[in-house]
Amino acid sequence: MASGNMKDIKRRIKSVQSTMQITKAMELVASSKLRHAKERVSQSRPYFNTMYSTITRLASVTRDADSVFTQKREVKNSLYIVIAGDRGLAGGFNSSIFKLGAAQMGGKNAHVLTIGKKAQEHYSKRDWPVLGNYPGIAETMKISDTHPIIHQTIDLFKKGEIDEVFLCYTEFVSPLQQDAKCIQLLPVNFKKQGGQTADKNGAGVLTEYDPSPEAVFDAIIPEYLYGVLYGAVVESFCSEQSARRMAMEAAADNAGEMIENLNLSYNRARQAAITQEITEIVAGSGQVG
Amino acid sequence: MSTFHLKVLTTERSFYDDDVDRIVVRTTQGDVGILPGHVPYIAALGIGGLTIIRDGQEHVAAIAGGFVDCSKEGTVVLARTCEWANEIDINRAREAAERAKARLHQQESEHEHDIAQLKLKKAINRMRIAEEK
Repeated sequence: MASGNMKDIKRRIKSVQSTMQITKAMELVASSKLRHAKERVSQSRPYFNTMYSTITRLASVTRDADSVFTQKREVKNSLYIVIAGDRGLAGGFNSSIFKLGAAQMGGKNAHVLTIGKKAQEHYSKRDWPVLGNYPGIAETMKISDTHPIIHQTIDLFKKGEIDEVFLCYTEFVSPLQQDAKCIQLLPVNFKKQGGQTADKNGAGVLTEYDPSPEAVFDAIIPEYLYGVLYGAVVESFCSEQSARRMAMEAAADNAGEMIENLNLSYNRARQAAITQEITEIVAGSGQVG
Repeated sequence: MSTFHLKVLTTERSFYDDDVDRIVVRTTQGDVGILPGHVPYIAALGIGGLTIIRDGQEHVAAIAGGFVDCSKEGTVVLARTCEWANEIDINRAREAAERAKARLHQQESEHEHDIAQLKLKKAINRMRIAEEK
């Protein structure tokens, strides 16, 4: 009986140990990927900040009615581009972005474009129609990877099948904090989004546009969308790795704790077995004598 | 000689960030030269060259897509892709040109045709810049 118990505990210790090995390895992989991802985020940020300030200034001098991209229309159909991970085991990373998505889409006639395998799996089982899936691009993201996604989005938007576009991604705040966010992409609305009003000195200075403000605007908006999407995917990937690292670290810690407890039980069982044996021997010898 | 501040940014890196004498850049309307004290100016970029002249020396880069923005603070070029002439892998550009040409000859949808044409233009541009230096 006692030896059977000991065997059981031993087997459990072994299984927890191998789990711990896996979680440790995953943690290491995630932290090395996180390093690369962080570098990519910091390299791409100056581009987006400049892009954003230019677009804001441009938007402040271009009147709303001038471009299809800024025109507000009655919203019948909305499109949500949801960026999630390609893999699970990343703590609450995937579920929190889906939760945010569900909260945002509730009550709307929403359509979905997914980026990441997990998003594809998630939305294939939901009621929202999926217009496109783009799995497996986050890790080796290049700016050209955003082109098909944005082209599809712009196409739908121009045809009037979609009246507004939102982007759900996870912002990398710090290794310990990642925030799921939802921003409006189209129609472009800067004042609401950034809380910024028009540039102070933008109004007074006459800017020259080649060939015309509208043409420049229409050329730059897709550029801006590529940029925003690229930035969002890069941020999300960084957040995913960070979340996974944290989750795996916690899992490895828990496994360590479990092994400690199991070791304790194992030693207790071993001692109990020895004590019992001694008692049996003593009792037996007493009877003989 | 007066100079102005030029920043060239791509998504992957900060490509250039320094004072320059003048630059020539290819917009969708053709080559545009920018000197110090240029009026505020914004234009979308085409596929072509970016020439940076600093201390009388020319530095040439291949550029594709994006836009240029001149303001009082300086000039910013936001490019989709941008690389120095000596960074260009000419063999790769040649191969890309061949591939694009081959695709142009196939009967494909208009969209794919456009993409192939764009790729060919980019490859030819890279080859031209790399050979010119």
